[in-house]
Amino acid sequence: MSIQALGVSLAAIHMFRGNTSVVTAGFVLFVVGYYVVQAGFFTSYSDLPDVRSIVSAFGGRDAIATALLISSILLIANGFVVGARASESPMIKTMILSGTSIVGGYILGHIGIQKEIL
Amino acid sequence: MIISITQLVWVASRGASLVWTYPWGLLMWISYYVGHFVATGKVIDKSSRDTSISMPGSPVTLLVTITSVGGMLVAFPIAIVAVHRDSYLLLLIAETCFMGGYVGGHYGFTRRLL
Repeated sequence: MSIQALGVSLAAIHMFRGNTSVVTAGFVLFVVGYYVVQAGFFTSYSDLPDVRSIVSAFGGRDAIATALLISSILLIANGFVVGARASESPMIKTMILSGTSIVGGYILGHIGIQKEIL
Repeated sequence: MIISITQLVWVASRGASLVWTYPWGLLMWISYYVGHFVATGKVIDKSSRDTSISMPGSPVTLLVTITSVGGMLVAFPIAIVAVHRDSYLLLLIAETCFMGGYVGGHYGFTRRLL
C-alpha cells in the first residue's frame, strides 16, 4: 500500500510539472503495489517474504490482459498530464480528452486485470 | 477518500514536495481499503479468472450505471477548472462527483459498492 501511495503521490506531483515519464512510472508503481497487496492477502504466510509469490501474482497474465494493462497505464498517465496542463488554460476539448483518457484507461486496465468494467 | 484525493491534488497543484503529498496518497489508499472491507468483507479482491463481464441487469440500472460513469468523466473537467480557479470547494465537488460516479458505476456493474 505504501508503494501505491508513493506511485500516486509521484504522479500527482509530476503531472503538474509535465513529466509524463515520472507520472507513468508512478502508475506502474501503483499497479506493482496493488499486486503486492494482493499477494500479501492471497498467498500463505510462509510465502510472504518469498519474491516468487509476488512474481507468481503477475503470472498467468495472458498477452491481451498485459496489453490492456500497459495501454491503461499510458492512457491514465497521459490523461493526467493533459489535465494538469489544461488547468493553466482550460479548454472544453482538452478537459474532455483528459477525463475520457483517464476513465477509459482505467476501464481498459480493469477489464484486463479483473475481467470487469469497474 | 474524497478528502484525501482533494488534498493530494490541491497540495500537488501548489508544487508541494513528496513529503507533503505522500501522507495524502497513503490516506487515500488506506481509506479505499477500509471502505472496500466495509463494503465487501475483503480488503482487496483476488484477480479474477472468470472471463464473463458483469453487466447491469435492467434498463434502469444501465441508465444509472452510464450516468455514474459519466459522472466520473465529468469530474475531471470540474477538477481542472477548480485548480485553474484555485477553488478548494470546486475541487471537493469534483472528487465527490468522481467517487460518487465510481461507486454508482461499480454497483451497477457488479452489485458491490467497491
